[in-house]
Amino acid sequence: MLNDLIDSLTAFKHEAEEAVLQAGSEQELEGIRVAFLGKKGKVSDVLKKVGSLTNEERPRLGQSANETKRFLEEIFSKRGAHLALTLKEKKLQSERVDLTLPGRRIPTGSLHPVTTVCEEITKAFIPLGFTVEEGPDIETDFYNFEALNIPKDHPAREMQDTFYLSENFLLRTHTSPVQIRTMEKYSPPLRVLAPGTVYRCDSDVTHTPMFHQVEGFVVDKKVTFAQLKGVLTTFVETIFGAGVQLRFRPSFFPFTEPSAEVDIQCVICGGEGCRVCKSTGWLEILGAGMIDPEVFKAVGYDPDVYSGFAFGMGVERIAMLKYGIKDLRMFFENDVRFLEQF
Amino acid sequence: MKISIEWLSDYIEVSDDIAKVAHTLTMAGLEVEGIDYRDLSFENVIVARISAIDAHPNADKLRICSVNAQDEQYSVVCGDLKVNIGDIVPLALPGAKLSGHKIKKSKLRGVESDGMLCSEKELGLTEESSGVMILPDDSLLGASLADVLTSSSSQIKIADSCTVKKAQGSGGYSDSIFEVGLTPNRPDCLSVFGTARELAALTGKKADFPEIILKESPRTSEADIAVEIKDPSLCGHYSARVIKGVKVERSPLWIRKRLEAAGVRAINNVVDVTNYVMLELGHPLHAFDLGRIEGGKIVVRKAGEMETLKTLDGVERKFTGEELLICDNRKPLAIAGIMGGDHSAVTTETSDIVLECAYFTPETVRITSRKLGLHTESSHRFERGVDPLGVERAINRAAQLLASLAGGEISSGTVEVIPASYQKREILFRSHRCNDILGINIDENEATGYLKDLGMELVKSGHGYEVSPPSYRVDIEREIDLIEEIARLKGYSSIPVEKLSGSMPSVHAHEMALDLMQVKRFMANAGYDEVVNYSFTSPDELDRLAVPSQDILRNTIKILNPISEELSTMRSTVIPGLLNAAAINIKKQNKELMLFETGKVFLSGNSHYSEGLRLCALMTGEKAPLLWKKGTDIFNLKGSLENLLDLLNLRDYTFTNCSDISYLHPGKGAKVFSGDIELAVIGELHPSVVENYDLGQKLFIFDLDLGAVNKVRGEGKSFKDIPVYPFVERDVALLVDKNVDLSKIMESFRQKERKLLESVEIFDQFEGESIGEAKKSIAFRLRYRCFERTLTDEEVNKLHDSIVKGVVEESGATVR
Ligand SMILES: [Zn+2]
Repeated sequence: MLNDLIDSLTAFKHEAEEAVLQAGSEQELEGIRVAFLGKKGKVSDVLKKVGSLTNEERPRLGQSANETKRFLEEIFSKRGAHLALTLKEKKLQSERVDLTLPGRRIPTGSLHPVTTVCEEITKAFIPLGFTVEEGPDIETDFYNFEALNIPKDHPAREMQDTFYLSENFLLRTHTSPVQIRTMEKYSPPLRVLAPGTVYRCDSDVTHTPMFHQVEGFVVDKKVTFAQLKGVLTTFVETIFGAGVQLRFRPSFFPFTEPSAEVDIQCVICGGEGCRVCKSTGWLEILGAGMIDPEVFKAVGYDPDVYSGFAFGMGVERIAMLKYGIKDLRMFFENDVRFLEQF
Repeated sequence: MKISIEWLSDYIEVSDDIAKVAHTLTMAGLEVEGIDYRDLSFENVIVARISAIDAHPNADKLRICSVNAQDEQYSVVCGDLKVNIGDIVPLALPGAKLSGHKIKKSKLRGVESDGMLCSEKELGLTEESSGVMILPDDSLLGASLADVLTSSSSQIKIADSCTVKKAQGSGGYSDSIFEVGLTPNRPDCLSVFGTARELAALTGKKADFPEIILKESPRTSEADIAVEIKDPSLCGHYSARVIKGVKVERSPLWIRKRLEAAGVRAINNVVDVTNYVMLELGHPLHAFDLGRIEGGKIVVRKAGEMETLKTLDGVERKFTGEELLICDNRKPLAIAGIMGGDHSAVTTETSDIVLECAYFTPETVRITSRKLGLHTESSHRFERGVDPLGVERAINRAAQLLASLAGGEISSGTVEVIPASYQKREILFRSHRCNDILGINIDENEATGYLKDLGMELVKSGHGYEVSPPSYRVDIEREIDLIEEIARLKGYSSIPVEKLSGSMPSVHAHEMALDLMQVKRFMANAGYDEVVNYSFTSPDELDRLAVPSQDILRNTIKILNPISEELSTMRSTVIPGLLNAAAINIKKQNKELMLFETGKVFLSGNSHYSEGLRLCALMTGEKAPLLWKKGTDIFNLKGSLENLLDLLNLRDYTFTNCSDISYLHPGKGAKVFSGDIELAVIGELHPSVVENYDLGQKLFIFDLDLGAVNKVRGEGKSFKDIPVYPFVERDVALLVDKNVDLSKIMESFRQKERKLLESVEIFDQFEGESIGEAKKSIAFRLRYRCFERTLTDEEVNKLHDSIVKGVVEESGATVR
């Protein structure tokens, strides 16, 4: 008798396991649970037969029934949790969002290529210990010319058509006045970069009356032309990539001596010759030279003790070469279809 | 400066490798900016003689010329009515190529033509010419034109002592013309011979100028002319020479061709010779008609005030008294070193001439040239400095050529006045200085060798050498100039590439420590495109912004010599530039715009100019994708401004509504203050300004004074303790008059309680009929917190009620 009852309890386990797997909803599961574990369920039915057992046999049936109940409770709760999860999942799936719709972005603006290139140039010199100095756009004749060894009526003034505001005031034609202002303010050693807006009375396809320049200079004891070549070589490699050839050739600036014009191998044709480089294979990008002793005298430095070099470059020109911009005037037309490319 | 290689070869042996010659010059500082290769082969162009001229049966403007070349007879239709029987002319036969155009046998108005009689222009010899080219009488008929041009008697006639080499190449007539971009310090190379001299120094060759032998007549120059210099400090040397009985006519081809190669127009043989010698030796000359000089005397003096002279270009020049003139006893003849007068100019009537060659100081020519706005080939050279010892050679060379080309008799001697004799320069050269500056280790012999190559005299002295540069190298005055010459001749490419050495300089503290890049990057990240405008604008811009006449923005600075009226005034505000940028883009269908510009503005004060730094930004259209469309309003722009001020560590600022900014909508404008300092204006653009700029759409703008911001902004961030105790919040909605500014109510809240009221935020605002038309409702959330303990509900309620009561009393609001 006892064995029969225990066998039927064992059979319930298998029966329930199968039934639970069939249950597709929590209600169905509850029905199965009641069928097995409810007051009138199958387990209760077996326990009702306890009366027919002996005193020794009764605890054994109780033990077996409890074990079966625990087992059943466990599979019901497991299945219950599974069904709840599936339901939640289903609900979430119905909350579908189309993520192929565009994102809600903050519109991004762009920096002017002159700003970007100016920043790049500055960054190339910062590791060499250069700091940035500024000066006014409206300059005096002294800072723009006289102190830079360009006396009144000197033919070199013709190299730079000047906008005048009065007899003595003008729009700076280069950022070189910052050289003078800085040297007046501080003593060597100096490694200075002066970016800024400059003006020349010239307007055609290749000239705008306003453009941007970066001037740099170094003053110390024992500064040499060889070091000038070193600094500018580093700079050109930073901006245009390692391996770009450069050459120095003699030129003339009143505030440097010896003076040099610096060409880089044409970045358009790689030196083969093209329209941009006028078939020479070279592009002029920098003016440079050793600071003229007259400039040192103008600021009270002793040219027998100190030497230095200075260099200057046009930002738009470098931007044109870097980005392949063909028309200088585009820099000042402010068409957003141009601006937003940078 | 244009240098003809064919001409250059008169003085120096020039390598056939023209590109290499150009490179040599370029790498020595005489930049060859371009090479004009002229290669004229003249195949099938022969020398022929016109034997008969007949009328054309069908055309008045054509003739039929019978020409013969040795045994051959040709019939050629010709458009030049001035040809004569007997003229020797170039005949292009079928197959000849003239400036790319191939000659064929053809019918002209019904008459067969065997070829074409050519002008110099058609042959590509000169850029302008009139009529068929006439060749020398003794040219060999039937010979190729190339042979005649390179070896004809006309070339041999050039000069008694100067032979011209045949151009290189077979049978062709070729030349290469260098465009040399000369720097202003090298006037010694403003001539063909000067360039030859430089090339000689660079290549180790020799450049020779042939000796000039003159056949002088017994009559002296002194017999006809006297010279007086009234201002000896301005004229270091004046030389005059008389040539009598010249025949003024057209110059021969070779001289015209050389002038043209140099870019100088041929005029007549006398004028051409003065120009030729200027181009050859770099020393300008002038020829006067002796008959037009009154009193037989040349006076070099300053102009009188109000004195006038009609110059060769036909312009009546008025003088101020500063200009140096060449005069006779009664009147001005020429402006010294710049341009001759019309009255004394050499014409076809002229038979006796006075040649002038002088040394005028660069300063006087510069001043006069600038005063008169008159720049000539002559002034260009004097301004930069001609060879102070070059007068004699130049005047004799011109006399020699004139006698040969114009057939005059050279009076013997020159009339010369030399107020101050030339002083040789002596410059100390120390080779260790050269090494110190260049960063090389050059041998003393090598260094001095270069100097000697350049014609310098060296004398050993205690510390180094006393160096005397040649007189024509006016640019060499100091040791550094000598060092440059050595670097140049050694070659910049042979100077090593070295790293900077020496100590790192200390970093200097800046007054303007504002990081402009940070500001720009913020604006770009916030969606604005950076624009850059010129610093000068049209004076009309301020009218377009309706800026009142007393406004400080009207204190603009004018440029004395602007490019145009549109670019004549330094901007006192960045706004117009930005509006113009918007207008241009809107016209090009770019209507969704967020733009900014940082830049300087300029104002004129009583005795000085001031510069300010501004950031101006605008927003117009909808910059978001259509799907997410949400109206752009002024608060989008204001948000950017507030974020930016945060970034710049600015905390204490207030927005104050105002209606007095001329270019802003009177109901939609505000100023931003920090204390009394105005930092910015912001608002919607006034509808009439929108019209003035033809914008066609609403536009929001702010203009921030970065200089002012930099003065008032905080030191940077500092840490505050994080509160430990919780906050308590209370909300209140107030019903106020529409015209009451939020800032007033906020101020009122803050004044009531500073310690425990941590923040006041507004979380809702609305207007509508339900609350009455003249009212608006604003909902505030007040947050209370104490740093030392937890606040109780009762004490917060009490505090809140008293604050609200106070605000209600002050603002006339009611609690909803
Ligand atoms: Zn190229």
